Amino acid sequence: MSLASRWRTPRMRILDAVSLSLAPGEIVGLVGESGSGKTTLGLTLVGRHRPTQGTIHLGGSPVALGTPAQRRLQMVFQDPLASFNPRRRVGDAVRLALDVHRIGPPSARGDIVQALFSQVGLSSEHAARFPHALSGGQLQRVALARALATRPDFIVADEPVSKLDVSVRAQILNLVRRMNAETGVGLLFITHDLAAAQFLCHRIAVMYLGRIVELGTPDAVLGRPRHPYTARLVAGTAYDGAAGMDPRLGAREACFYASACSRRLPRCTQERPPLDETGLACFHPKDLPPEPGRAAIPALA
Amino acid sequence: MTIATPLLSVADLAVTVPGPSGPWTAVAGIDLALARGETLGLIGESGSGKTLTGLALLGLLPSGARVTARRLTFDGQDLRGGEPVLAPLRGRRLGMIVQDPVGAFNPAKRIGWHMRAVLRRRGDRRPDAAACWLSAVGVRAAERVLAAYPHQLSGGMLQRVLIAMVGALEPDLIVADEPTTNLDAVVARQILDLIREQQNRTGCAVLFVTHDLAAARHLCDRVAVMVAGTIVEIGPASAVLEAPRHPYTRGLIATVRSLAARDPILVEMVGEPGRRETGGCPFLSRCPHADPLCRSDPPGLSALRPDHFLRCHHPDV
Repeated sequence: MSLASRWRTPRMRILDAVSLSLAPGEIVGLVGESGSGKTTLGLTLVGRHRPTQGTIHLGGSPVALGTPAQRRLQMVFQDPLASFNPRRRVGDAVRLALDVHRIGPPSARGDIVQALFSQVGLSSEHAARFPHALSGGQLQRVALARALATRPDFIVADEPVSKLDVSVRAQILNLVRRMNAETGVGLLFITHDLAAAQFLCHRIAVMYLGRIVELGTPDAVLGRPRHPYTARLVAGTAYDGAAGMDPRLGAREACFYASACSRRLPRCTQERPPLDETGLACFHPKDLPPEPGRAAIPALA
Repeated sequence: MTIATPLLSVADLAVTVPGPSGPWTAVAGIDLALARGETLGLIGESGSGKTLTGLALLGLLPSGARVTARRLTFDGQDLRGGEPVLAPLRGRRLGMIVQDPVGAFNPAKRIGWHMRAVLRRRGDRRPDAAACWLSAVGVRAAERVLAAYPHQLSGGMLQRVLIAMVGALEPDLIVADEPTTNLDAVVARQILDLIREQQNRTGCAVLFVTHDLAAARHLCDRVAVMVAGTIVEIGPASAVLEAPRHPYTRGLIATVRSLAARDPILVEMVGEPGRRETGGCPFLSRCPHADPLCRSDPPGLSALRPDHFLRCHHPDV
């Protein structure tokens, strides 16, 4: 599947010349700060936004919005409570996905729902409850069951664990990894939690202001970052984005990171570095000083 | 937990909230003492009662909730007197930083209007006072920020403004309820450092309510861990978060370490955050070491060391 989308509002281009392909069963992490366009890219992939420019291909053919192909793309949201109808029992919410997409004979759909619930570690007793009567972790399990119900090729999971308690996060991360191994479903895992991305992903894409600036295996991207922004993200060092104007409002023919970059050369403000075949969008990846700044909150030892 | 002259002293605090099947005790048996200049972390998962505890101290509980305590004093004043005692203290000697800064501002008013309201309260009428307090929290384009409406600023910037406002009041106690939960890691660090700078400058005490263990370790002198409405472990941040003793705290730290250690399958904690049950240990349903004693007798808070307390029948399992 490939995507090149240009999402335009009257004022700002939120995604700019993004190209990304996922192999069947692959988990790709999308990391970056708030406002980098991670969620917009995910929503565009599942057809929630119509790209201004570019196409989405699934298994070699272009995806049009509202077509049966949409069944093959599913979404899991950050806030599990907000993603369920409060007046519908969660078992019925999963059943609705089967009804809408006409999966299995109607008489067998109840059993399919049961099987999906047990697949994510819940019982039929949970299926009979309303969303408010389940915990955040349980609801996120239901959201996964609902996404898996249509037997998708691919799920966009937008920060699926960031609203969950620490005690529950590991359960859901383990579950997602098991789902991927058992069903072969691919995943775009949107997160700002680099440790979670390292745990789950086969590849990681780093986004900065609507562009992918680095793409590669977790060990390469997080272990030996080449883009100065990735290096900064990994070190958790500060970038005061509020200090200047959003570069997306200015010239597009420049590296968006140039105004914050200590390695900036004249070329960086005149030309946009494309994402090259090695998965890097930077003219000066090496031999330049490290990014200054203040570290993020140190992890627990 | 014996502090010679605590700024805040709480004994046997309980909060009862209305529920679908009648009043329900969400928080019970909270004993806390907070010294001037000290930062105490209140750690717990959703539903553990940490936010209710923080709000109870400020008298900001939702209507219908009821607070009882054997002792609830702030600098010698009995806060059990309710609004007549609390109203003059709030916004002067008691400050609060909330999780969602957007909700803390009037969307129809510019930032400058909010800052001036606070400064008036403080009696500061210098024309550049608002800009001064903003630059103290690292806001460079102070004039532009003062002219902006809340929706025009990022969450991190609004949180900075909120800290500047609390800073201008120079309160003796700040309750910071998940101030970094909605922020990026990098911005979160900046905000925590600002709270600490504030504290170094004014010597105020901070009650830091959070579920973020790393943030608590970074900011706090001591931490209290809450499960199902009760403190189960309290002690120096280094002891509780690096050598935890309660099965809940130990499980929590093990999952965090497992992710950092890149385990192929993460260490999980059993079960889900639950409500407070009557009778027995608050962690009973999720504890790997629970036995009949834990079912019949709720454990009391006992001292492991003079400054480290634990609520568990089996501290050595």
